[in-house]
Amino acid sequence: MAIGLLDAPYGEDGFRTCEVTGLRIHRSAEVPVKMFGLTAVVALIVGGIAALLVALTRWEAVGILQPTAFYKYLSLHAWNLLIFWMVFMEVAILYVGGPMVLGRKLPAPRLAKVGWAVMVASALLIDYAIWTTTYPNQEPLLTSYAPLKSSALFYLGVDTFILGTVVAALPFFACIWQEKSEHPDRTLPLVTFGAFVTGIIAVEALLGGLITYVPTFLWRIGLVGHIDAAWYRQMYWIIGHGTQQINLAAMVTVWYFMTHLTAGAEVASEKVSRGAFILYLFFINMGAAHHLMADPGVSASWKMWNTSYAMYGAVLASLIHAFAIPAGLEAGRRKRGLGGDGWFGWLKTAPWHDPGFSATALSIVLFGFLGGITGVLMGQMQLNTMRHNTLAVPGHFHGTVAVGTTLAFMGLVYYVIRLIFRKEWVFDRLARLQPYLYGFAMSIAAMAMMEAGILYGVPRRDPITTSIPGTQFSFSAASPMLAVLGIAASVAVVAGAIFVLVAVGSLLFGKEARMRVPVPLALTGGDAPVHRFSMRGTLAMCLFFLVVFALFYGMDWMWLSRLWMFGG
Amino acid sequence: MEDPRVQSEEAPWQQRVLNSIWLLALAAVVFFFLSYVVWGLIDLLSVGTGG
Amino acid sequence: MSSPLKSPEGVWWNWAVSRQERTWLGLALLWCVILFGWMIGWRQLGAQNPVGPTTRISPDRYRAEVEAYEKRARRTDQGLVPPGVDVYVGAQQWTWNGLPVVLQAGKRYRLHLSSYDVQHGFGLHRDARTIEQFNLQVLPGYEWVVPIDFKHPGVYDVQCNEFCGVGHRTMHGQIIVE
Repeated sequence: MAIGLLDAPYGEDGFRTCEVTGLRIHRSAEVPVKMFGLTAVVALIVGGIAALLVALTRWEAVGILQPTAFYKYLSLHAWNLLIFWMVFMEVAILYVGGPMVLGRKLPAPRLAKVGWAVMVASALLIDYAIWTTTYPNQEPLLTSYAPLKSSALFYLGVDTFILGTVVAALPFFACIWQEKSEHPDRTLPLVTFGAFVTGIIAVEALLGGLITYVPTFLWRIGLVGHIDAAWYRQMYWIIGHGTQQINLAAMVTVWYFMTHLTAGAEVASEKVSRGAFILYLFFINMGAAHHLMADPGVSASWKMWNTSYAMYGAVLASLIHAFAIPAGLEAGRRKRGLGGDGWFGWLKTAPWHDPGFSATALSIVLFGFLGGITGVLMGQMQLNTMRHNTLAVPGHFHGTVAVGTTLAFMGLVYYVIRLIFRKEWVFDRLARLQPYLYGFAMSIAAMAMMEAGILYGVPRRDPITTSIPGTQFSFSAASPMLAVLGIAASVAVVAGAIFVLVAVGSLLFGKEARMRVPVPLALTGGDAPVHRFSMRGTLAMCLFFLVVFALFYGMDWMWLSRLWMFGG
Repeated sequence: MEDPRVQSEEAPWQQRVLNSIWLLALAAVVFFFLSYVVWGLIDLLSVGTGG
Repeated sequence: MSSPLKSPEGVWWNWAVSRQERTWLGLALLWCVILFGWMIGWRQLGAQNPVGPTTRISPDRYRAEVEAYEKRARRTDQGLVPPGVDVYVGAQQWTWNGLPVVLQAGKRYRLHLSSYDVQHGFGLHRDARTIEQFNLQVLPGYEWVVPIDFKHPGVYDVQCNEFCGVGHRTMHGQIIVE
């Protein structure tokens, strides 16, 4: 069965032509995509189970886990979802965006397999280290802040995971190198360009991880005497936030890919979209500084320059993509005769029954409103002090990663199942419903966390906040909000389980895919350049977004201004 | 009417820069290293010792 | 065709950008300038900034400083009354040394923060009211002096919000402002 899953109707040269996209796909690229994609879904299952237990604990009326167990499952939840689910998917995305889109072989495919094996072994080691942590070691959570000690095996596992990922990324870079050498005058397709930018951002993040975790491992085993807390934080967040920026760049690349594939989007302006990716390339990892706003040591100037991604350069990039992607969809659909009536007909007639499309569309909207706005607000040096280490922080990153990126990757996996594993989806109706259920439930959960953190200051990483020994003070006023969190998160886990059910069920029991070309792709709409078609619906939506953004911005600063005075 | 897709003269420098992906990658990594890592470390190293 | 899956051919740099996209670019750029300018402006003119002088100090030396301060302070039923404008807080698994402390509203103090052991989070809340809270990071090896001035009297609760081990959730202290 396993061999059957990895097989496809290749020609003698190892290539096949995709009946849907027209891409020329080589076995050496496609097999690793399957391996990494499947592994990502396994990580999703592990992290999702941990998520349920964490949510039912933070819903303190249920309080299913004792504190020691809570930190264990919180660490498993963080590493399996934020890191393993994401990073395995992203390596797969590199192989799709690189050799598959370019129609090339993957160079040195053995490196891909070695990288995969090292990553899997490391992930198991990290999970094992977390599972068996006992005093004097502390659970690492995600950040493993020195000088709090975690298990030596944990740090070792992180180092080897990073190395494995670097090895797995090498064939992608080699492929790009070959393409550029053979065709120096050719411009890479936008999706490939986005994948390249994602890859470089990843290399920065991974190098930061090695700078952090190699010395920390040596410290833990007694070869290095002292780890400076401030240095650790500054270096750690290169990988800590950098991995999230990989998620962002990969997700945006997937958005361009999926809106085109499922609904007929085109690129509204090559130079504008590429310019935005270059802004990401230069500035996005500076956002690691978001975590150091309330820190001593680093100067205010350093804080403001880095937290703003160089005068909001990377935020400008996000705002550009926020317009360019729906605009490409609107103009692309109008060009293909699918524009419908009025300002939003192009959106109303879009294939909302297709989970690949609905997951992508929901990802775009929810990421922007929930994750994007809160991220910029919390990244402002002064506003950060009201949110730092409260539940508002997980609220933000559940909006970005758990809603936005996860939905985008779910949509992509649906199509990987269809076009790469060549299986029809089982439980078709469940598949159609799943992105909506997940998106809605996870959004409510994220907003509940944000409210608990913003209104009440409920701390993050704390299993029992509604009663504190030795004092009357507590966060019990937040109990209703924590109940909303528990319920909504549980529904989200169920929706995640449905996704896994459909994904795994399709792989095991799905019929052979009929390879029908989505209707929009079959209509070419002629040769007129896409920028001639109206993008007024998109502009209206983006203006609305900006108004909402400005309102929350104003509110946050108003609240800050009412605080006591602090700072020199 | 001009067809903007005609393969005509050499691409302007802006297009060539956007196509020089390895150069851009190098510049970006150097920029990040200076802006975030080096400047931050200078800040930390210049924290004076307490009395 | 401008497919994201195909190489754009020709001089794509010269392809027109729609008026709507250009409008959005202008607005987005303006918003970014506002975001940056406001933050910088507040640093210069605003009353809330996570800024203050930092010095390097070993945990042992800081502990000695806090203990010396506690000896100089006046002890009351409600807490310590600092001898001057310096208020010392030493974070330790799992207690806030130097707290409870009694301060005066409207008076400008220098809040000294450092840790004797691991990283802690100084999470300050006013009277369990909504929204009125801030959080500063407390690191071993670094003493951070943050000027602070409480406008309103009341009881301000300190709850550690950086995971610091098994007793983390019990690490509570108080600042009473009269």
